[in-house]
Amino acid sequence: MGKRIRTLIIDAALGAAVAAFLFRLAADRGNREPLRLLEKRNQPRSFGKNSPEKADQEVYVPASITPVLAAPVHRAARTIKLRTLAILATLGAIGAAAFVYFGVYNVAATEQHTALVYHLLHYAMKRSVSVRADKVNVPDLSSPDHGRKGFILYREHCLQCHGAPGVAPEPAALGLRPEPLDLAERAGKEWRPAEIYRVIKHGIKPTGMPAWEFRLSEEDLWNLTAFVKLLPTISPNEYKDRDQAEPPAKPAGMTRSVAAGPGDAKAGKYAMQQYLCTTCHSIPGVTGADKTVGPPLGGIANRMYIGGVLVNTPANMIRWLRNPQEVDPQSAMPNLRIKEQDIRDIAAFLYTLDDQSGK
Amino acid sequence: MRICPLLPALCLLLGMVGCAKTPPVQVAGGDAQRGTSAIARYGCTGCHTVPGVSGPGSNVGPPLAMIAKRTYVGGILANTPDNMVRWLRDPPGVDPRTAMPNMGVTEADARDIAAFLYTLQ
Repeated sequence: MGKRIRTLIIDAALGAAVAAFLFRLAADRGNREPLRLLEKRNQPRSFGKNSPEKADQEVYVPASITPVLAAPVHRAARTIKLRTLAILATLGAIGAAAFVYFGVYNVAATEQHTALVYHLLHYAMKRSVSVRADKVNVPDLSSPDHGRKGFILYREHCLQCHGAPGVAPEPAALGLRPEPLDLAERAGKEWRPAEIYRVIKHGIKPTGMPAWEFRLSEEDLWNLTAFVKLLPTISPNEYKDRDQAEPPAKPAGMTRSVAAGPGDAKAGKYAMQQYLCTTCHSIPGVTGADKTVGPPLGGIANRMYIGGVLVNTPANMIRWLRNPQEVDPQSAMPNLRIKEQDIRDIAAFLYTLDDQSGK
Repeated sequence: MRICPLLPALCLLLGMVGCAKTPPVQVAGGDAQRGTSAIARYGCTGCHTVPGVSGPGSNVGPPLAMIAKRTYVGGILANTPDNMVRWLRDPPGVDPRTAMPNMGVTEADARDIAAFLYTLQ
């Protein structure tokens, strides 16, 4: 199928779906009985002509255009209506399944989304962030110190993909779709600090934007936010000056050293997904964690050995999570630089996985 | 009901998505059938839960379900038939830290056991 035709079909289908949804929404608002798209009315005698079968035939007219003629809803009309809906829903499901199975949509990053998909996704992303940002308490970011610290972090962690005034992103980032935005334009001018903070902290799922929650301290998340808001005011020359004046940043993930308390299993389940445990292990109750690089973690709570080398005690679990290769230099499991509190939380979660069958 | 003809069509389409099973990796000289009895003989089920071989459901080492798909053997070797046989014959010889003991598995038995393990996918 030609790219143009495919693009056209996708946009048309999506457009039709959106239009149908909006139409239904409007119908719901304007009509107290939204399900009543068609009204049955009695067959006028003259319409029957001479055919005996046709005399009993029922005639359906759109309810919206015949408000005066609209009779009370008959049971038969409602049945037909529901059946039509069921058929349409089934056809829709088959169409969607075929769309997926035949790989109609091209996920290649060398091909941009179709215009409608692009704008719909971008709008949905913006709304999703905006709605959640309303609950964020924004600290005072006016001190130049925030921007200065934020610059050091930006140069260390953001520049690679987003570039900076007069500085291009690194080669790998050029191939990203959706493309990493120039933050001076969209984020710096249009986005609220709370929204920028949320995006930095939690990332954006179907894009290359990672979550920094487990890599940067709360304070640094805000410093970065402050700098992004400053970006539109910084000229390429000023950026160069800052670049020469400021020292390099400390490596991410090492900046927060909170004294570790007892582990919290719920926090551990959340944390372990941010250390990509899911890319190697199958973990009961975690979507996408069905991998077989390492052993399954179902039943890890009462497995006798950890990593096949350490007797399974909470202290050893913590030791293993801290640096597996220090315990067994040959282990394929790398040091994920998990922070102390996260280690304890993850260990607490692992000790809830007591069923080997993986349920 | 008018929707009836559509449902089988949907089922058929979804059925097409179902995964096709790949044939197990071949181990030279190994026989999966003989491997099952070798597993019972060497007491592998004393530490591992092995699908298809009855045992107490041990959880000393990791379960061997889907071991054919596992990327690493013993967490340290790339999962190839040769490495699997090497591991089965003498785990501490490969990794001195491992808790898995040398069970005195012969080369022929190791090949049979490996052949069986590659059916667990």
